[in-house]
Amino acid sequence: MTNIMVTSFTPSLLAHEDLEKLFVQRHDEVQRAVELAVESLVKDACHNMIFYGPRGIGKTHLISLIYYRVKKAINGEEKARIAWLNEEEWGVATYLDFLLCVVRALVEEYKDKSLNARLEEVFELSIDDAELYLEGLLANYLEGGRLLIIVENINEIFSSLGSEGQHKLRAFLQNLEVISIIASSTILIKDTSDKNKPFYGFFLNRHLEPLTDDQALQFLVKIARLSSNEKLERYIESALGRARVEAINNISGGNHRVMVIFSQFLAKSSLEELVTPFLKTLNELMPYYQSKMKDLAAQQRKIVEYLCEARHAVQVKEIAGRLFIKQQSLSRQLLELSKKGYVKSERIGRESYYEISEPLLRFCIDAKRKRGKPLKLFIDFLVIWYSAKELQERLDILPDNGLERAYITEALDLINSSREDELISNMMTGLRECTDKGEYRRAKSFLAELSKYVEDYEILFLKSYLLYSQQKYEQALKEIEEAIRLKEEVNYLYMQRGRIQQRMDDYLAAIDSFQKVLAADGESATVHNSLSKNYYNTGALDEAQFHIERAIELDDNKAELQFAHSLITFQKGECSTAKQSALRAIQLDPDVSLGWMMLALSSVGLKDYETAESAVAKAYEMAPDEENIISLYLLVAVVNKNYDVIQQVGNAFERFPALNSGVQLLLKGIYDDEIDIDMLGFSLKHIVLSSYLNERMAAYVSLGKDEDTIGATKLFMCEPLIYHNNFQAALGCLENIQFGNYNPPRVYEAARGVVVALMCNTSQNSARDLKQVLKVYEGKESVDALVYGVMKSIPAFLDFPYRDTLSKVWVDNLERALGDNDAFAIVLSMYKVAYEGLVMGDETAVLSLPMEERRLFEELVEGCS
Amino acid sequence: MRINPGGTIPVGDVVGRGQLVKELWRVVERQSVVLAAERRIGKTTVLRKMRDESPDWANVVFVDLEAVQSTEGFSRKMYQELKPHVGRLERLGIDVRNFFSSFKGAGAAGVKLPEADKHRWKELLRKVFESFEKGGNGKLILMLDELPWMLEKIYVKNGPEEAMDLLDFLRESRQQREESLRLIYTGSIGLHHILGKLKKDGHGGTPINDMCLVEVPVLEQGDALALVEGLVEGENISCSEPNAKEQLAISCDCFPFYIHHAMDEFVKTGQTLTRQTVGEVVTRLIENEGSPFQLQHYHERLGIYYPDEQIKVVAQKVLTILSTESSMGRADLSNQVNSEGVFEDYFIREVLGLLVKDHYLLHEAGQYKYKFDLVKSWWAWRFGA
Repeated sequence: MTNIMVTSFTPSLLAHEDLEKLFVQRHDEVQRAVELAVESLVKDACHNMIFYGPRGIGKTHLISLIYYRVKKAINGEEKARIAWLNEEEWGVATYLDFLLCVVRALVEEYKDKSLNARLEEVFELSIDDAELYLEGLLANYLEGGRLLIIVENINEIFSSLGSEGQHKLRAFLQNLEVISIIASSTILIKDTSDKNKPFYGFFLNRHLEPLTDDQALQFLVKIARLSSNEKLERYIESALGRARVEAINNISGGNHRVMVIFSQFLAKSSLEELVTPFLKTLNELMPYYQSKMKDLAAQQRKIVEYLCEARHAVQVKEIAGRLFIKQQSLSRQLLELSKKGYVKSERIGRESYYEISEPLLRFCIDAKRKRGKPLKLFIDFLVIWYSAKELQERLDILPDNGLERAYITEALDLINSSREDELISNMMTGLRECTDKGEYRRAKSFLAELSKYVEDYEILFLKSYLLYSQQKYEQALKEIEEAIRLKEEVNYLYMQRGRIQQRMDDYLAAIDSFQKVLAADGESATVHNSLSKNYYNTGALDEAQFHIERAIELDDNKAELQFAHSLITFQKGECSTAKQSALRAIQLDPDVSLGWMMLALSSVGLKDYETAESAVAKAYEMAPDEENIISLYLLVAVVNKNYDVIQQVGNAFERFPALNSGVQLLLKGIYDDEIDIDMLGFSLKHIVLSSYLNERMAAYVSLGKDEDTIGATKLFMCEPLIYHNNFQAALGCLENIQFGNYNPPRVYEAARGVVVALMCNTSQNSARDLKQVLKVYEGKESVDALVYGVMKSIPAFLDFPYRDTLSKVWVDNLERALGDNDAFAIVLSMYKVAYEGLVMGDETAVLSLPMEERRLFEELVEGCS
Repeated sequence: MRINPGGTIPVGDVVGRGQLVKELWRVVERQSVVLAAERRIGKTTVLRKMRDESPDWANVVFVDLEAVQSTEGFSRKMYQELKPHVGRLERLGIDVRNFFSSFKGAGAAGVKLPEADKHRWKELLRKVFESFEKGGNGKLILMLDELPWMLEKIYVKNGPEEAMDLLDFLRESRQQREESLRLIYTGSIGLHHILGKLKKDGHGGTPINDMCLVEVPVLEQGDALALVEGLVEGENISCSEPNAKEQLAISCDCFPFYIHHAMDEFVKTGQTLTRQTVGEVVTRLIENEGSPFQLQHYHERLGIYYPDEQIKVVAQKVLTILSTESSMGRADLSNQVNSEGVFEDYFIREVLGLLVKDHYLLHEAGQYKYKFDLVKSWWAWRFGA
């Protein structure tokens, strides 16, 4: 099977394997039915089931599968028989007809000539005798065996049998005790649920639900696969295809047959090919539904037609009002229609809502009413499946008259009245889903497909969005600039450009983009917030504050805005305001650690260490692995001398060996003699600085409780400041410190840190920087400390990761900056030996050092790589 | 064990009923039986279990008569079902083929059968019973299912005389063949309805007063629980609270049909069996109009069972009053029903008797109460204050 024609899609005619391939949704139901049927055929039990649901819901597919699976399962059971009365069994008008159908089905199934010959005898008899004869024939045929009768549309058969026929059938089943029935029905049969009827409670009823969106998608994918239509399969699985299948499933009411019809249309390239077969399908169904409508009383027909027109569930009072029918009478008619399977109801609160239960009935009535005019369903389908661009292109080449032109014109009118915003919105949702999940390949195919349907600037925008999500900012910027060039009046393009520029640290350009959005779209909290962030990044704190306050005026319920306000005012040294904003942020969203963190920081600024500690403790509780929170927690705990917390949180250094060095240095500086450094897992070898602390270093500097502490802090601030390319600030710290106030080891250690930091930041400017440092040390008469620092930096030099390329530069810089000062002669010669001997591999280099210096050097580099 | 509310359950899977079947055989050994049963309570299952567990002296034939609408049809049916014995019949000198063709020919031509021919069906049945008796095969136990339905049809189609004639013939047969024939009458509608009609038409005989009335009760609580447990296991239904099973059995009145359907709700929804979900499911099944419980039938059938408008009105009043009471004595009930003094006391007593016979009420220790709590709950929900 490689191709399915929609008009011939009759599940009972499909091969078992194809039915299996197409099967979705009802796996549990079928498995259960098969188990029960098999039990009925091989054991002393009779299970009877009816699956009911409207036309096209997949009953025949399900029944056919049950038939094939049961047949396979009982293979080899000689005495187990199946008689399948399929939906084409229209000839059952009496009990006798039913018995005849069963015997014929057995003859057909088992090619039983002897049974066929005995069947011929029945036509010589009267009706009563024929019934008895066939009952006897079946009893004889089944002697010692069992039978499963599979019946489609059993509601129609029950209706034909009438009360008398049903009694006869039930008596026959009861007397024989070996026959079970599995059936389908378009409605819940009253004859099986009325206690006065013979078949009351006889069957286990199963209602067949319509397809959900996911199931509709699976179904169409399976149809595409079976038809070997890979292109259609890929399309259905794309985000856009999925969105459209969902929309089609919605208008088709989850009906399998309608989805099959549409699946054929989806594969067509021309609208011409769609309209005709669709109408043909409806025309084929028309006589059936017309006859059903004729069976209804005039008032019931009126109700059905009204519900078809409404196309959605309607309240009783609305129908009553529109059709001038009294509510009491209407309720009775609706109940009757519900029992006959025309309408279904849903109760929401005290109100009952009614709608047509068979989508196909609605389509047929719509087609009949609008004969010769475009069908609403088909227009809906065109709008969902095609873009305005495609429809317009098709319209341009069509002749002035004709049905297809009428369809496309109406579809375009509908599109123009509803605009494509919804489509854009759906695309964005789909794209976001892909990018959030990191499914960039899928997102790309989504984009490629979309490019057929939307305008070029929109595609460029979406491409830019995708690149932005992949952090490819330069390319993203290029795409969005091109989009703006094509459609400069669309503001969301500037918004996107601003976001990209912000990520590229081009804050001034980002400010320009966001200002454009602000000027064109008017004020919005989002744009003001974006502007504030970028002003903050440029250091323009006043402007940042202005915009964040405007954003808060427009939306004072966002914790995120309050948090930003707190940060800005904190940076400006307005710690009371920062604290207020932090408290408001916490009030709005107490579950975000950032609010608590800002409360802690602003409290530190206000020297309220108690509040700071409880706030940071709360933040730590929420985010125990957040390095900055751990750092701040330790910092505050150290200030408060809370050794319990230090011990508790201190092990964080083991978990995060690269934890914020700024805090480490501060701690070391303040409590060098009081805290067991090993206990805290301090390791200056693992210094990796946090940008977070760098930004706020100045704030931390004010932490100290007395001048001495501040000085000590500043002493150890130098190293991280240099790491963060803030050499001038580091130099400022050095200049402000009275080295004489501190123990020499501290001063020496600080000098080593400064040299190592300069070495790590080696550049052409390092010699100049070194000279300035030297000048400070000379000014403080502490050159010996710097000599010590340079000497002690040799092990770090040997661990220097870029020594092959930058080591020579560093050694040259040292020579240029310090070579003129005799105090550095020995240490510089040691550096040269370290470079030539240990970096360049000249084993004789060390011999150039005098013996005493050589011993000192060897002790120094012991253990280095 | 699988859910199977309306089909045939293998006798090996039948839960309980053992004691009832033993008791029935004890009775059948002595006399014929009228087996009364509420619809879907499991009467056919009991009959099948009886047949499967029949003693050596019993030769059981089960016949469902709901397709039969005449005495002629009855004899045809009996012939068909008793075919295994047809050889013996022929030995007894009956030309079965001609017997039926003459019968059929007359009926088909619309000719009124001569008096002698009218009763030929009796002749056949007499011969059948006789063959059993002479064959020394023990007792023939004829289980006549849906007999009331058949009598109703004969009554409507051919008049009360024919229905009464059949009943009388069957009575005469079992009395004449006390040693070799037992009849078990049963059906989904009460036999007393057709007997009441016949009585009204002047056929005031006593066609069943020699028979023992046995009622098929709901399951014993322990058996109902075993049924629930069997279904939980067989259908792989998750159950997080063991006492939820007991709750389900009790809240379904230990009525197997309702238990099967309530369990089916758990299969359909995949819900776990807990006390809460059991309560929700049973309430839904009681109150939902489309539910398989179909409890509104107890209200609708009042009009069918009691075409007399006054009986219907009193029955409705009694049921509504009792739906919010645990039980009531006859005097109190009469006072409340008859607050306006419209009905005679004997009339109310007669209605109460009918409601007991028709499985609405129980009459125990002078108190009337609902037989099934499910029906009571439905009535209170639908008509209670």
